[in-house]
Amino acid sequence: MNAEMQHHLDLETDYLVARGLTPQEARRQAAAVFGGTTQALESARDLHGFPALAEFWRSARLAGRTLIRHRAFAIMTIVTLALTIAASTTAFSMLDAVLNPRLNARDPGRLYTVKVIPDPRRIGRPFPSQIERSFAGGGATFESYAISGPWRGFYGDAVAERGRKTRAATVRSVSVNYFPTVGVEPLEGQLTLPAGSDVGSERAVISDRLRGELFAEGETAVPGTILVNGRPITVVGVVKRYEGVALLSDDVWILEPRGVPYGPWRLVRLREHATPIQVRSELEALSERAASQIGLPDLHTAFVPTPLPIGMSVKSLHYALIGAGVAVLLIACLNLANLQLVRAMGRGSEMAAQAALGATRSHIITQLLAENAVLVGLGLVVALLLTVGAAELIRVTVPRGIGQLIVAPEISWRMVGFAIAGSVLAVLLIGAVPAVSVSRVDLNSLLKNRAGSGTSRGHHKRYGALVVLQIALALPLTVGAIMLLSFLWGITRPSAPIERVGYDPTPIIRGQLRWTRTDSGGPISLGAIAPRHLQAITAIPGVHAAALAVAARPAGSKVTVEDGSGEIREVETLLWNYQIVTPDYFRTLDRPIVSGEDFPAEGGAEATVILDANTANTLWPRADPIGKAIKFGSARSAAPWLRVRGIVGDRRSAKQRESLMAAGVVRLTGAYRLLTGADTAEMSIYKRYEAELDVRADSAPPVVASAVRRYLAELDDAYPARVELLTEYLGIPQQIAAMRFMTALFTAFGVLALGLACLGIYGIVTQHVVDHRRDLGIRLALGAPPRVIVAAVLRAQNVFALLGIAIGLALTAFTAQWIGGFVGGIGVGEVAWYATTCVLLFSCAVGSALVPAVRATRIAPMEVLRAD
Amino acid sequence: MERLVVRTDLLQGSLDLLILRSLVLGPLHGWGVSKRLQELSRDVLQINQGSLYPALYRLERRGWIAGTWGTSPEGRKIKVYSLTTAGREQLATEVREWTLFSAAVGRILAAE
Repeated sequence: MNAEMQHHLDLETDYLVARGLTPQEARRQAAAVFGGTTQALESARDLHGFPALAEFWRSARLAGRTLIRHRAFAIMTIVTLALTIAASTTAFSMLDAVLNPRLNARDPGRLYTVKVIPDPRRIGRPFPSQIERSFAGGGATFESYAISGPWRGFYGDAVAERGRKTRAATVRSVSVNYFPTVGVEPLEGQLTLPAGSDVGSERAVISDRLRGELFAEGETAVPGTILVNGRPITVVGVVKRYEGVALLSDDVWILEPRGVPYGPWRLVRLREHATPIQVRSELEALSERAASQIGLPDLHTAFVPTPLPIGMSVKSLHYALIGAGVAVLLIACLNLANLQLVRAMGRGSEMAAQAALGATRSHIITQLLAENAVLVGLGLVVALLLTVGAAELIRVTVPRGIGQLIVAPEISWRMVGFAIAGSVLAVLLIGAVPAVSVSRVDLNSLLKNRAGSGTSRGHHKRYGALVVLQIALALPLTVGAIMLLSFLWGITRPSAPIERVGYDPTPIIRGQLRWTRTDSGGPISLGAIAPRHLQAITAIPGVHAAALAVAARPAGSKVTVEDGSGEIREVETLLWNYQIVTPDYFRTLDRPIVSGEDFPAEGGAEATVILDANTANTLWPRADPIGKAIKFGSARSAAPWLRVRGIVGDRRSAKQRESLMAAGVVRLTGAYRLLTGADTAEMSIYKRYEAELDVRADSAPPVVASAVRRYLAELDDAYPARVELLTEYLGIPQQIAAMRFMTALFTAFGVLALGLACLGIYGIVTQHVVDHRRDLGIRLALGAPPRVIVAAVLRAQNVFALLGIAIGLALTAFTAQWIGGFVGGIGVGEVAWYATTCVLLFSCAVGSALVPAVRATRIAPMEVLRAD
Repeated sequence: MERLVVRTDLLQGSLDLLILRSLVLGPLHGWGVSKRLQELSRDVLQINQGSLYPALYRLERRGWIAGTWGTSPEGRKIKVYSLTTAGREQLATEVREWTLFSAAVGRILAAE
């Protein structure tokens, strides 16, 4: 624009020179005719482009200069905003990663799971695996068809180990075309095997997570060997694990070159433009053709494709996280709005001068908003950098125990969008309230008074409202953090595992001993097999004792007892099992016999019974049960009468036992019958004939666990049993890691909220003291003692703090459910937590106010009065 | 000859008409517009640039003229304005209105 006018002036000058004027005279005359260049520029600019934007840009530059002058304020605001925007954006990106996991697979929209509905006439008979095998090569409407299922009859959590490293891992068997069907690329090695190849040990693809846990950085995982439930597996490839995608959320995929015969999970990749209905009809036609080839011409099986679900469901934790993030952001915005309000009032004379020079109200608001936009913009940039850092920090610290709840945040455009939305909210909240209220101020009164002191009652109320809101928002976060901290403290105490299970689980290793049917198909003699296995296991170095337990259900869901005087009583035992145990059971678990005696170490022909105190009290409420007769079945059943030999206790503290009793845990709990030589495996309620194996280690439980695992893997080819430390079996370390992580997360939010609220209170009370300097000075001059001054200052803020706490308690009533929902076992309504938090918050509020209040007592009355 | 410097307040509406009319003969840059108006009015009207450029931008925003950046023979960057179809239609309307208006003013002034 400027160039265009300059050009105009030059042309006019040339024109005048051509008419005979000297260059100087021509220039002067041209300029005179033109009028003021600046004026022309100004009036042209108003018409050119977007006047609001241009105005905003000018304001932003002005704001930049103002902020450079007030560096401390600017830095504080940027840091506060960056921290809080980063916190809420991180919370959002965690939720986002749960809802929209980024599946790096070829065209995931064409992946469908297939539900196979068998011919009703054939239910109960196995579905011929040849049929599905004929789909593997694909068809006209689908590219490929893959199957996955349990591995050797075992599905789910297994134990993977390599050297001295042991990790829980989920395992499944997959057909060799599984990964080509999913369409993911290997991170290392390959994801398939040549069909029909069948050499040496089993081969598997492992997840990047398991790779990171079992293999050192820089070490090649392919080809490597790991043990899964004690069986050696060769690693052929590594693939990225996706928490929210059912197909890719395992750790070990065993590749089965001979196919997965009874795999219940099918996956099909559609050809481009094929519809699920077309695929369904093709699969059914192919199935009928294959069925008639194998001599089943009437087999009609339905194959129903449904889109592969991607993403996990949102849990209360996610709402709690997002809520915490947004609350912290709001607190920060309120805080900064308060600060801006104070600053803006202080700059009242500047505003008044601007208004006097013709600045409209919209000019002043634009300028104040521009100042905030510059601050928030800078805060946003820092926040995005912090979020990337936080995402990385969470990625390396998120424990696997909460994999179903939290996955590592992902950097995405949605995350940036959320951060920008948060920033816009911040600009409006921080800027709009002070800007509008300042621009409404009577400029005359401001100019007349000394530089806008903001002492009016209205402003005081406005500051107060902001403080009340901050405290109200901070309270639920602090309650949440304190609840989690107390829960974490409860589960990390050394005695916590003992209180939970009744004995020390640390040296115990738990696994399953499984049998297949004998060749004859008849029952196997548990009584004969158990001692043999236990003998072999006890011979493993480091094993102190070992025992087996088999759960059994009383016949007719009743227990019959004889109370000593010949009277017979039946007790209902719905959904209750008793245990059939080997002689060393209580010695292995180190549970004390508190009355009567333990099972004899050498076993015995007589099946005697040991009860725990609860069960004994329930069956014989006011009598000594030792020597009494009990029958695991109804009075008429053929179950034998057995003698009660002893009462087993636990290692809980007396106080803990009392609180359990008070909680009403008086019912049938533990009843243990000695295993005899006559017992057969068929008495187990499990079709797999499995018994629970408990091993007590003298030293190094993980090493002993590994040896037991190998023993069981060699022993039984059909079922590779999972053997692990009892603490891990109970999920104690995982629970602690998960709680520690969540507590850290919420405590960070809570501390941030509390800190910001305190800062806000400090700010307002300081302003209050500045505003009332004169009054306070006079009171001091009249001889008021310092405590009266402090009380006067605190009185105003205490009202706000208490009001904030009252509103906060109402908010907490809603939010505590979210936190209580995922910690479990915490009394959400427990008044103690609320009271503690309220006291803490109030103390913090008083503490923050105390600093300026005490400073108020040091006001020199003479100086104030003289200044006046 | 008496010369009239066109100010914003004097000929607010008629300046638009004059600029549109000056561009009927072909595209011109800002100085060219002012010179052509001066010539066509036989030196009676001289446009103050403080009025000219805001008017040019206003007409451009309304879509009646289109400005394109080009290079002058001396190598200077210049903006050349030309009349758009909408501008031609607007010119026709304004000419009709002006004729009516000036005739009316003439009749008033000629009245005894």
